[in-house]
Amino acid sequence: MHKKKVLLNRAMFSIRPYESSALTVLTTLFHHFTEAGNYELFVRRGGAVIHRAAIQVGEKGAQQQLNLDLAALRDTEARECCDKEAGTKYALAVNSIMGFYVSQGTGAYSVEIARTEHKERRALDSAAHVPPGDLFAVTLVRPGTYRAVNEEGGAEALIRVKPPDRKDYRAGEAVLVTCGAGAFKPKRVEITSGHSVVFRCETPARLRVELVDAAESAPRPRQEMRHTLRRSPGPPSHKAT
Amino acid sequence: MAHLTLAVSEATFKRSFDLLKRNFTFQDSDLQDYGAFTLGYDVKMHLEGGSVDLRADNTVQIKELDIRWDRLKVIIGLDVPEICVGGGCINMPWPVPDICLPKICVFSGDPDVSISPDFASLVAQEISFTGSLAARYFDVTIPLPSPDPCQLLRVVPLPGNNQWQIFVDPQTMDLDLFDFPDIVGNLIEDALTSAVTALIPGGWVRDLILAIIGGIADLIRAILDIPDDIEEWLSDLFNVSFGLLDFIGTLVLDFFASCNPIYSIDDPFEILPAASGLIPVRIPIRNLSVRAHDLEMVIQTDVGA
Repeated sequence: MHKKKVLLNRAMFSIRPYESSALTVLTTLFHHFTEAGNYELFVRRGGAVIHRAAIQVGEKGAQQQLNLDLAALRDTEARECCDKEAGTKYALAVNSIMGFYVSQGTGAYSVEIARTEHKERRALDSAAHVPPGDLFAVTLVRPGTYRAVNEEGGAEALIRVKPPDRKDYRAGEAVLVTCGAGAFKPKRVEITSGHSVVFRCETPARLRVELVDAAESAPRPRQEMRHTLRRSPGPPSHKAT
Repeated sequence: MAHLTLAVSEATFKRSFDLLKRNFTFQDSDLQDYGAFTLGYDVKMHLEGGSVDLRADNTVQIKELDIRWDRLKVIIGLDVPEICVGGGCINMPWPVPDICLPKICVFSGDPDVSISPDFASLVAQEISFTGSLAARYFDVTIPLPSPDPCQLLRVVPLPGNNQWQIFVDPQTMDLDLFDFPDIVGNLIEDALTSAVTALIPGGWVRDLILAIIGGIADLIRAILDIPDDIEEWLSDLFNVSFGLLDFIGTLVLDFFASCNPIYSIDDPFEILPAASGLIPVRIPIRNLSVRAHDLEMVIQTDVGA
């Protein structure tokens, strides 16, 4: 067997806040295309555009969901001056979803989608906020308690991440949380390590999920299992005569 | 009536056979790719012990010849499947379609782990065979077959002149099957578990990964598609799948029956060496025959013209 070189995806296990304005490993932003038309996509890393693409949203016949790995995108091709037909193109249907996620690495990305004809009409600018109708998902792996905050309105929710159970682990589960005006619904959710929380935004939102209390990785010993040892009394001391 | 009769005692015959037997070695290695896993072996063996019995029915019985493994490595390689978090789909109200989350994977590819434990000291096998004694004429003018089946087995050098050669020619052979003891299963499982565990960081990360893959022991069994008895599975591999047992049997047969004579007699045979300016005296050997008796091997031959 040919020995492959494999690397551990360390970014998955580093502890940091997850933000909708800076997409990193374990976060995903979903944009919902509600109108047909031509759009332009800009992906930025560290403020610089690393990828541009045209998105054509048609009435029918195209795919319903497209997930784009921002870490796997090539650097932007020079197509700005002359050949507007060149470059990457994505075709989607009305009411389809385009997801943006980061599979690996430590880079933070932002995504901008604008109408080609009216560039001032931005459908999405993730660095500023998640527009209503869009979704932000975070997959949490470190067991503990997390706080989710909408920095636009100050709403808060608590997410408890349970350690996985080896005997009964089901992969690929997700919980939906609505991010409304002034509050999350529900305000408390419980998931298992490796599962996801998907925030559906009803108002413009700037979401941040951060670890506030890491769970102990090893179970605490039970109180009734504690055993106290006492030293036996030593031999009586001899009094000086 | 033969012109010459030569007898070799059973003790002498045994010493000659021991000399030949000690020179038998076999080594081989192979690796077979089964997609999600690889299996192979790297082995080296020699022969030891055994008893030699010349019998009245013109046969030679070799009993309980020990196969001693100098190296009996089993190579097992696993292609650990993708270990990912996330994924799954979530139902959304109309008109938004159901949304499927991407999977984020722990490793940049499917990691490989490989072990090659050596079970040389744990496996014991014996060979027994009964054969006849065969006399054959080696003519140096006749070229060797190509390819030469004895090329890797020949320990007795090829003669530079014609010879009568006497071989032990096995007719039937008993060869013990590979039978790995119970401890081998535990050793393999422990070694594979250690190799997979070494890939995974400790603490809660390990807990998560082990939960995803459902435990290392189960993962290994699932990948290799092996039953409860690893040692039985391994024995079958060596006995059947690798074809090693047949191969060893054939090699031992060829080694004694056709590649290495136990005795050889030059033709012509020198009875007086060159001396005082005179050429050596050599007699041609014709019609050589060999028989086994209860206590000795008897060679009879004519002196030709």
